[in-house]
Amino acid sequence: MDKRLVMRGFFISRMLQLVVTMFIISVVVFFILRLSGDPILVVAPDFFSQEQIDQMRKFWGFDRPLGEQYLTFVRKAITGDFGKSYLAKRPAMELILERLGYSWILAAASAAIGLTVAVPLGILSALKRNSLLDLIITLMSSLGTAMPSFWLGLMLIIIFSVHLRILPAYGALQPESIILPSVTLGVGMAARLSRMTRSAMLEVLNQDYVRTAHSKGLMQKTVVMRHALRNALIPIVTVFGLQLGWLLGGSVVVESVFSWPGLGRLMIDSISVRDNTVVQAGLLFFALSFILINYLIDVIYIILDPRIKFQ
Amino acid sequence: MDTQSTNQSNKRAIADIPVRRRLPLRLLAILAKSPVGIAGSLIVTVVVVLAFIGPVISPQDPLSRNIRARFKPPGFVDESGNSYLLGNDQLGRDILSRIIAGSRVSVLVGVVSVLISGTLGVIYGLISGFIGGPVDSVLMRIVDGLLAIPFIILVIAISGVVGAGLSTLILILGFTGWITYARVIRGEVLKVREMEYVLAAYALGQSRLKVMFLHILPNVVASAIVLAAVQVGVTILAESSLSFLGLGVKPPTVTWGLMLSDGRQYINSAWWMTAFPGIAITITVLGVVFLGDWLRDFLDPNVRGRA
Amino acid sequence: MNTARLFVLLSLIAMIGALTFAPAAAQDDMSEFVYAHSGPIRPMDPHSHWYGSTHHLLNLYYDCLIWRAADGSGYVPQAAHSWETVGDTTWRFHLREGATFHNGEPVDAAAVKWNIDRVRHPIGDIPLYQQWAFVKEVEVVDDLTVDIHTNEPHAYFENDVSYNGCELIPPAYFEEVGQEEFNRNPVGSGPYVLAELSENDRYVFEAWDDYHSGRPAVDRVVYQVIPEPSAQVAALLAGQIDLMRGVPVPDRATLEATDGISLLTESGNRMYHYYARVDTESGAFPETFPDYQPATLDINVRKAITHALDRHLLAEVHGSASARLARVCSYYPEGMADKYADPDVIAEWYDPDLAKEYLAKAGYAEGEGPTLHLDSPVVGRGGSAKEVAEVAAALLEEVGFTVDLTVRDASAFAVEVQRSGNNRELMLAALGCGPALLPLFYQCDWTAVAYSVCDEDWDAIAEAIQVTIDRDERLALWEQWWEYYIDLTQTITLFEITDVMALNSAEFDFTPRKDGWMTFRDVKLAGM
Repeated sequence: MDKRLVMRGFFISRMLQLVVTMFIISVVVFFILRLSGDPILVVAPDFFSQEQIDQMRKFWGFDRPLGEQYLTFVRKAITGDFGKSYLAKRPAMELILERLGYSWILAAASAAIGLTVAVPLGILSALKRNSLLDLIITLMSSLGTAMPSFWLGLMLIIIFSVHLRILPAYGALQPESIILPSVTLGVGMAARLSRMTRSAMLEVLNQDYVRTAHSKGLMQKTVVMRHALRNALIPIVTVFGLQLGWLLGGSVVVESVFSWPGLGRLMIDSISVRDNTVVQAGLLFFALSFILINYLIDVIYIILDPRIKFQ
Repeated sequence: MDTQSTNQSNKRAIADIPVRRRLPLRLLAILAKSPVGIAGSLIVTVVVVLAFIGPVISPQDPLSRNIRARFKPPGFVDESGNSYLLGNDQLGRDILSRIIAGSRVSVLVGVVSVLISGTLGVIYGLISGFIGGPVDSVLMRIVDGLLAIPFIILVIAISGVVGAGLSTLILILGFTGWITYARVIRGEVLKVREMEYVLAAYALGQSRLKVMFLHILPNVVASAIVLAAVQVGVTILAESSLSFLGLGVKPPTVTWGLMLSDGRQYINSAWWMTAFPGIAITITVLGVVFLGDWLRDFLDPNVRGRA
Repeated sequence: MNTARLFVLLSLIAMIGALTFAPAAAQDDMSEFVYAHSGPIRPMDPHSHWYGSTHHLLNLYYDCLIWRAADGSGYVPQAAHSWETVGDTTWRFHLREGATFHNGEPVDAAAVKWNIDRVRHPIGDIPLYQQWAFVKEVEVVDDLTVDIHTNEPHAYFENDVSYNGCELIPPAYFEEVGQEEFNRNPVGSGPYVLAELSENDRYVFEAWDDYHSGRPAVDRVVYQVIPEPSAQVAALLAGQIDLMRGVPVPDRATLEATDGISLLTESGNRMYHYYARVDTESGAFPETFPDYQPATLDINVRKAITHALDRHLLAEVHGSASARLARVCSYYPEGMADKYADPDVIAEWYDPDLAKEYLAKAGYAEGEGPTLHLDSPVVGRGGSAKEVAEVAAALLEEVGFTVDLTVRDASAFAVEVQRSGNNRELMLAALGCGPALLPLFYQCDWTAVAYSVCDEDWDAIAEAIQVTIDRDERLALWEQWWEYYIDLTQTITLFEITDVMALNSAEFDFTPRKDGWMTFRDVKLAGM
């Protein structure tokens, strides 16, 4: 099939899907955040009278019917205006972009750690199936999956910051600051990825053509590199994409543990003071980046193997 | 490629049907052969038992304070002879007793919210797959949309807005967790509904509803159970994250996540307040993961959960 | 080959991403003082909100006309070099010749008038105008002289005029750029300029060479938001920050023993109280709990509560607080601290037998006291409230009450209980100690949603306090006022929060302000 044609079809259908999906998310997010009413009571000072509170409601448009509020929100969102933060009085999207760099660097470092640890270990584990090494790797990865990432973060702080005092535990004040949070997230990522790598490899290794390659007398290493890994890579890449969802979610809690000034902490801070415009814009932003990253992964797919079919 | 592999699994599952007469016995026999299965079910059993008989074996009242002796390290014995095997916290409460008491919430949240989400998800997937057509497209688009927001972020946002508490938290986790099931179950339904025996059931004049519940549902249950096992772990972790962030269960209810949230305040001086509740969570979830792995190998080797 | 290449490519992309965004550390010779702020920090437009801990930081780069002295002894000049009263209701301020804002705009009488007129009117969603209602008119006398006329004699004029909203901003610049851009790039006339702003994360101030009273000693002051106290401790130990407040109890010994770190103790100027419900009309109470009769309507029940609470124990549980009987901080408001903060008096006040007597007087049999619904946030201002509530509940049950304790996170507490007035018998209130606001809170025409009290005689005393300029006369009135306060037992005061701060004393010299404000114009390099 012509790759260019495939790509064009892919983009058009995916763009349509994106619009529909984002529409659904916006409805869900908007109405969930309006469930408990408006956040005025949190924002208003103790001594405000009912009249002043009503004025605030009017100021933020909470006195309008819900449907109308939603339409206003969508109309503005299309032009890139996601509303102003109730507290910072600045556009919500601006606050998000301010933090984006920090989140990106943390996600990238964690993904790098996750990939470099997980893929070789997963392959090794699959090749030496049922050996002691396999058992240890499998156990470790189960342990990594079962561990709450924020707890791992706290333990790393206790060991490396409180007792050994060799690594900074908080904020992003020095270049070393990234080490603990990224290791925390990287370990969880590696645990999940290596399990998937192992099972993907096993599936491939059991397939006929690999067995054939073996029987033709090809060396183990060649078989692994040329045949098995290439085919195992597709499910690994998919899982990697899905794991980015876990990474984004995990980063929310882990950023809060390490006071890392990324999007996750912005979200938690905004939720705790009910700065709903920021929470809303943040959720939409998370969803959009998650979808786009997975589209990117699909593109990698096509580059990797043009025979892939789409719906 | 996914379609192909699950197809095979279904053929296998269907081929299994007549053999499943003495399921409990078979289950035990297979369990005995799998160290992972043994470890998993052992851990899970211990945690569940603790949740039920905790108050009986708990060394101390998990809520009783000892203001004069706070932040004591593991092994501390106070003047009246009470020993604190794992140390005590900022109010002088026994960490071990609190961990035992906390197992109750983990089990409750894990089981109840997964029951809710599993039921909802299976019904959703069943309807979507069975009806098909535009209804299916719309229902699946909704699922896609919701899947694009990472689970934990969605839950954090909702509990931040709705406010929390044990029962609210269970409901929130239950009403968001179903998304995980919907797509997998719908995929299963799509395959099962074209099977000969389903077509035969139609031919025999059975109603659509009957076909759906009597012939299709039983064949997707295996996948649902495997997913549910994974979800129990995910849910326990989610509860601890939320309580840790102060968005989950509220004191005086004792939960591991809340203990960690307390421990974090004193992380520079009282490591035991942080270390032990986390170990409890890890072991429990590990048990669930093992059990889930084993169930998957046993029931349906081809379903992959989104942990 | 494809596969290995892709794998390497993915890792490479990730690593390059990581490297390009590596946070740059400030590496220069400037002295830098970093304070760990617990956040959140609100907008930079000083007239648009009431959030105290943001005004602490605003004080670095905005001047007010005058300012409260650090040691609580009175007021010091800022934009005005001197001021005096002209009759009962007029205050005259003399501005500095040639003083400008950071952008060169003059700090003149017209600018002052513009600022005070601005803050006297509703701005945005959280206006401060109510707090500036004492101002009748601002009059430009000449370029450097400005008169503020008040509606009536105002006992706390200097306090109020140096409080939130007093910060002067450049009128022309503000009118040119508007509020949103001003929040991004604020301009003031204080000793520091804002060099870097990452919303709610990091605020970097650099010394301004042209400040009228000389360049400040420290080149750079940073407010770094670190929400968790335990994180602040670790950051201090790692040398990432130089000052924190609210040091957790178990960490104090560690910090004390660390070379180069000193602990400082000062009043936090905030107090914990339990509010008892004394009416069934205010707030959302009548709709939420129709026909519900809170036990605290009976003054005997309230007296039983106040005598059942061992305030020394509660203060100890809190970790850094000293017990109080009335709403008197060690610094604010005026007078009576000896009487209501005397440890012996407070120890005597705790009298479970007396509490039981009051319960009997209210008609309850021994051990069968009424149910008290106690609402508390998990964390209040200045530390944990949850443990305090748990211990208070235990103390109340000891004298025969049944306590139904509900602990919520701070925002849920604010929405569901405090701001909506859904409090039942008891609710925690963590409040500051301002002399000017205090009598207002208990007046009949006070408009807030929750916990209103009205007693005509008490009201009259409060009115009188506010217009009595003579200090001795005023203190006599205060004495009467406190008697009502204690007698009514509606606000059951628990303790005053003490701030325990930890300072990098190897490099810096800092004396905490008496008013609890964490602002750093006066920080010095150690040994200078």
